[in-house]
Amino acid sequence: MRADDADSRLGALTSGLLKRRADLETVLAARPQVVVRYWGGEPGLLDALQRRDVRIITIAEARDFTGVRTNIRRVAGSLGRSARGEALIAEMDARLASARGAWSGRSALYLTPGGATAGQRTLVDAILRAAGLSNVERRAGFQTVSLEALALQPPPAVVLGFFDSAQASGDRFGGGRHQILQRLVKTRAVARLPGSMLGCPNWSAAEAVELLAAAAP
Amino acid sequence: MRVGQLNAILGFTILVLLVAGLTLGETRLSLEQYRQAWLDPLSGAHDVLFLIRLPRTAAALVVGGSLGLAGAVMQGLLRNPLADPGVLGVSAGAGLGAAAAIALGLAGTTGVVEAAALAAALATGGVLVVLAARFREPETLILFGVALSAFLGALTSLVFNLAPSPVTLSEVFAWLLGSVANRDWADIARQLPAIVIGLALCIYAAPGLLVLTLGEDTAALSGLPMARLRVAAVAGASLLTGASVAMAGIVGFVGLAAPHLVRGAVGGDPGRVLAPSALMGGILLIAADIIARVVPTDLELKLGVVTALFGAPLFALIAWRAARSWRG
Repeated sequence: MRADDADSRLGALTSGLLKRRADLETVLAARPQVVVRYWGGEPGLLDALQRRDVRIITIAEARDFTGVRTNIRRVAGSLGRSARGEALIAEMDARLASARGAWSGRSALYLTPGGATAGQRTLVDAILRAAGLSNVERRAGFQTVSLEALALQPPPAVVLGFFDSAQASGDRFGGGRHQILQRLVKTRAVARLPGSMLGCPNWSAAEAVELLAAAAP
Repeated sequence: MRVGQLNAILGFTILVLLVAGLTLGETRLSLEQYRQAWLDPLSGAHDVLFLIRLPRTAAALVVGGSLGLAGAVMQGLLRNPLADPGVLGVSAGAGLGAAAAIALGLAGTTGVVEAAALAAALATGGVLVVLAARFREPETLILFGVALSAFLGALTSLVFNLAPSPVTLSEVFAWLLGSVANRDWADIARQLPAIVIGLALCIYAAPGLLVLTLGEDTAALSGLPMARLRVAAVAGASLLTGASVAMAGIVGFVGLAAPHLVRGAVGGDPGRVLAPSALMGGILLIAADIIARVVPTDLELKLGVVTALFGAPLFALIAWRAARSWRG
């Protein structure tokens, strides 16, 4: 994912900046001591950077807010900005505290445009629970929704994720295009979480919780 | 066996598979739910049967039938048992159109990816029509087709190469693997005009296919408008393939295998093979889709994966039996 993508949290900051390829030559030209990365990219690049004494910090896939706190502390520590990291964590925890239990345990299904959902041990599940929602999806990890199960037992509420992004489904022929899911979206959607709040396991997940809580009846 | 008898058997098999397609799915419906499905159009069971399973099965029938027919036309026109809708690059063209539309971020609008696939298939078909009108030798058309297919495949790889994000990559990839899951009636309706025109062109071209078995020179003396029939065959097969790829992504082996599976029963007249090939294509794809549904994997198998997994060994078996008959 690029920083200027539609669902990037940093999109506004990248305006006017020179866009460069993430290759060895470009990175070395910037003479970094630390490179912070999430996932993807050319595997050989990391080895090449480490051989040149560049420290690589990989943001881990957080499955809950403890994981987000760990990510913030690691990155902030590696950049010598631990105090700023703790401030971000405190701000995040304050948002979580104010949103806690807003939906009083109501059941909801998380849904992306491609018909994917998130189950246990995902950050999305943690976001739903932090806002007081009970996740309808009981399987672990990211899953494809079952159209037939939803037709027979539609969830009482649907939380939409990434519906602001044209490139967010992972499968354009997924269940999201089907009239049954489109009907669910029209009649049962209670909140829309933008991709910029969900794409990375950082403090923006708490903003998603806050947004969800604000939509509670 | 007479063609009519074979078609009746194949038609009955399709009816049985349609019932299986309505009965087999992710969830097991009770008898009460089946009753509810027929009597209450607002029930969830009605949605499962008539908005999920039936359109999906119908899509498999239409796509399989189109690919089977296109394969039979290609094999007859090129007089080559290895010809199929993909060999001349039409599938690759449709795949490129869809991949480009997704990579350009146009996939958010319903029908745009499908329209791009069909338009690219038609453009590829247009090139082939020009070539078919210019070159009479099937070998020349096949060679041009192989080159065109490789070029279009390279352009699709370029789309992968320049894809703006991993999400786009996975989206293009998922589309190219082929599926009729989540298709509804609107998806089928959008492609029907192209399929009907393609079908009409193939029927028009059928008499020319038989004459071509006697050789180009004899065909030229037959009094039939061979140049026009050849163009109709290429255009018809291209339309059928393009519409199929637009509806279901790239699904291999059906166009190749279906004509071979029926040819033994109806003889060597390529015109007589067309209808049974279409029916057999429908059978193969409905069966493959049912397999994709019922195999208990976490993520449902893609149709293109199932047809390749089962189609490749099946085709090897056909080739083995054919080789034995040639030796005998």
